[in-house]
Amino acid sequence: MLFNSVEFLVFFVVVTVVYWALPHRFRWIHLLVASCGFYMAFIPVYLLILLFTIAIDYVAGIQIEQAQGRRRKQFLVLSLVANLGVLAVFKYYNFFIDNVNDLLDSLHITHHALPYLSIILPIGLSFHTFQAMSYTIEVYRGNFRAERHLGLYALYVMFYPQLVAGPIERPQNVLPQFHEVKRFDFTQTLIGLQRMLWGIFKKVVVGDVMAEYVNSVYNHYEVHSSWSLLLATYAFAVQIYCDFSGYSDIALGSAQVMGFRLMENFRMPYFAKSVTEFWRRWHISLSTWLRDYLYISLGGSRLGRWLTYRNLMLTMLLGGLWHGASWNFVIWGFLNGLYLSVEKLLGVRVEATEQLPWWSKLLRIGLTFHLICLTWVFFRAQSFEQALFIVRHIVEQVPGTSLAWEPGTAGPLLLGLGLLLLVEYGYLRGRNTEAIMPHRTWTRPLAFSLALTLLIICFGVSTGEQFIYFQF
Amino acid sequence: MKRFALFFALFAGLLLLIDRGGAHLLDHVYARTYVGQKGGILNHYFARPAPPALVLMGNSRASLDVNPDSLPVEAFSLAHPGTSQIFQSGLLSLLAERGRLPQTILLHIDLDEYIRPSFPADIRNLRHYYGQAPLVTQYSQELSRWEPLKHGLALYRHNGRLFGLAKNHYLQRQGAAPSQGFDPYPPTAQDSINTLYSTRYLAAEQYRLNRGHLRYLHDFVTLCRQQQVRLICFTTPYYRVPPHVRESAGVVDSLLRRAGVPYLNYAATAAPPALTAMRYWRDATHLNSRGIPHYSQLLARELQPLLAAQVPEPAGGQPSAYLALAQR
Repeated sequence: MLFNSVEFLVFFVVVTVVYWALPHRFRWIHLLVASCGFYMAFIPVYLLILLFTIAIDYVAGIQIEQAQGRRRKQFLVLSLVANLGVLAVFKYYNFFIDNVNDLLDSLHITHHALPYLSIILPIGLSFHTFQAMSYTIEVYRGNFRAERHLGLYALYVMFYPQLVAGPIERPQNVLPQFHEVKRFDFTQTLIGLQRMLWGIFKKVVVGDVMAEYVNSVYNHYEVHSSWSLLLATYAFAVQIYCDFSGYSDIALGSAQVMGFRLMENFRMPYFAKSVTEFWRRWHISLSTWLRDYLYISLGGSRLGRWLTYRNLMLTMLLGGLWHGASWNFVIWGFLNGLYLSVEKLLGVRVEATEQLPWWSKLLRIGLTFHLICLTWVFFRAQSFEQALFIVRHIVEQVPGTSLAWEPGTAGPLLLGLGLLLLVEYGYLRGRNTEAIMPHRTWTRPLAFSLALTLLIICFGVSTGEQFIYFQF
Repeated sequence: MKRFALFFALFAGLLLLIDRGGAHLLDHVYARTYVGQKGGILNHYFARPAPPALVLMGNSRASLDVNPDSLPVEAFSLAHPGTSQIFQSGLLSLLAERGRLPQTILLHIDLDEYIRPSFPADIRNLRHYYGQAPLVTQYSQELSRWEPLKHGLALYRHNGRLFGLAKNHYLQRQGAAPSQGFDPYPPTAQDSINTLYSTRYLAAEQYRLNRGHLRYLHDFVTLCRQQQVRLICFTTPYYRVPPHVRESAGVVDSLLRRAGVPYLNYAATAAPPALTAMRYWRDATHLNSRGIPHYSQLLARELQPLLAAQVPEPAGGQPSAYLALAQR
């Protein structure tokens, strides 16, 4: 059930109406059942994987809190092994086997080909396992008391708005909210609904329209000119942002309608003036997860310059692998780690860039955007060879086919991009989401909602395109 | 809660008002636009005083490779680039509903469709005619059970078309000629690269026969029989015949043979002698304007005896060739 489908719209309306109609004590049951239904709409049997990790983490959480000394660590390890084990089997096993087979072949060692698992990756696996791990780690660190209510803990992992593509929540933010008695709030509901509309607009009017252009170029990259490849890479940068941040907006909005506040996942990332700043604005729930549980655990920047670079590289390489079992994602992570290390070496400080003159800011924004675009080539390409081919052709200025920019195709693309920039500029100035979701009077939210709805009907891609981050 | 209900009612009311008003206005503009690849060409066809003797249907291989003026009878090309058999069947259903069927339909069959997954969403190219043609409605509803809900909003008919419509309307006002359905590509320096690349791509393509796709062709054949329209199928040549053609042509041919539909398959063998040179090709499956006259003449010659034959009687209770194939 995709967020950009009519099916979800119906699901959302029914779940929300029933949620508000029920008394508080029954709401968690309703949300849990709805979340199970939502997840089972993809591959029903994979619900068992979720229930398996939920059961282990629930018990581990309580045991970590109650146990003393080494036993605490043992339960933490049990939880981490269970979660990472599921990830290893479903996500990385075939990649590992592939590379072992290749390695043995290249060393001319006679061997039986190691068997592959013919399984489909459970949707959103990396998201909910990381969220589950953040719970046991926080309990272990003593930052959060273990949840005694199994149903609420299960809801923490399975809460449908953020189940399949984040934000990767922390227990401190979400679990207390499940205990609170929620009352219907007109303003919050209105802001939530507008945010959902904004997310759908980003996905179907901008992201999916860009995707058509990107796919047509990247699927036949050999015949395209340098300019065509460069434009497609820019378009992919916009596509992936609109696709993923659009999903996050729908997730945050649908939770807000029910009175829940999820963490922000994006803050205008392409307006970042350095890659360091970019990672404070892009997929914030993952970057902070990696910072809090990996980078800092490795020693962060406390162990001297060279170990800081090592930690940055390791964190970003694992961040790359988090996305998928492919060397392209490893390269993507490597490039980001390299950028961050170089910026550390050059002493780039995010706060200091705020004081720079406007032209310097603009130059840095442009440079950062292009550095990130280079990483997107590896993210989007089907193979390492394809990515290298595209990068080389962009640099070498090779002639070739260029897609015709007809008003019928370029019009919606430019309209969507223009509106995106306009509204997000408002966000940039207002510094918070509410700034672009006006609610003091009825006129502005009504006009905003009507305009978005009409744009979605008239220009949205209605084929129900998959969200890119669902595959992770 | 009351405030929200009131807000929502106001929102829904205004949306409905704008939707109906906007759609009415756009329908008005659309119906009077005769320029453009999809809507324009159809409107131009419907505006004719009478249907021509022959209508050419198919995808870009039909629209780019065949000059309708070279054919032995008065012909109009309703071929639409980028569409598949699903679209052609939906379009035929629309022509039947409007009573605008010609005496003969020359349908191009793209054999590549039968080795790739069907693309049912292709019918959305005819979403403007949802509810007006049985097959368009049926195929659309098969896409998703929520399709009727989407069509509850009248503006959805114009989804993704507004800029194209505005452009076509503007061009028409500037004096652009109505679409004729034939818009050949002049040769370019890129042609040889495209031809080599796409030939290599087709030759290397992993394929699996998609017999399910025959369903749409079967619907097309059945409707032609019901409406007493003579149907002639053809497939344009490839620059180099790809490996899958023998199998996919076999599947198509067996259906057409059972239904008694003549099938001129120029892909069965190497490109006709007049078209073997690369300079005639735009890519592996399309001719450029140098190659088109050669091919159109060849096609016209072979059509002549077929057009002289009697128009078939309605089938009346014949067993479904599609079902027979599907059961095998």
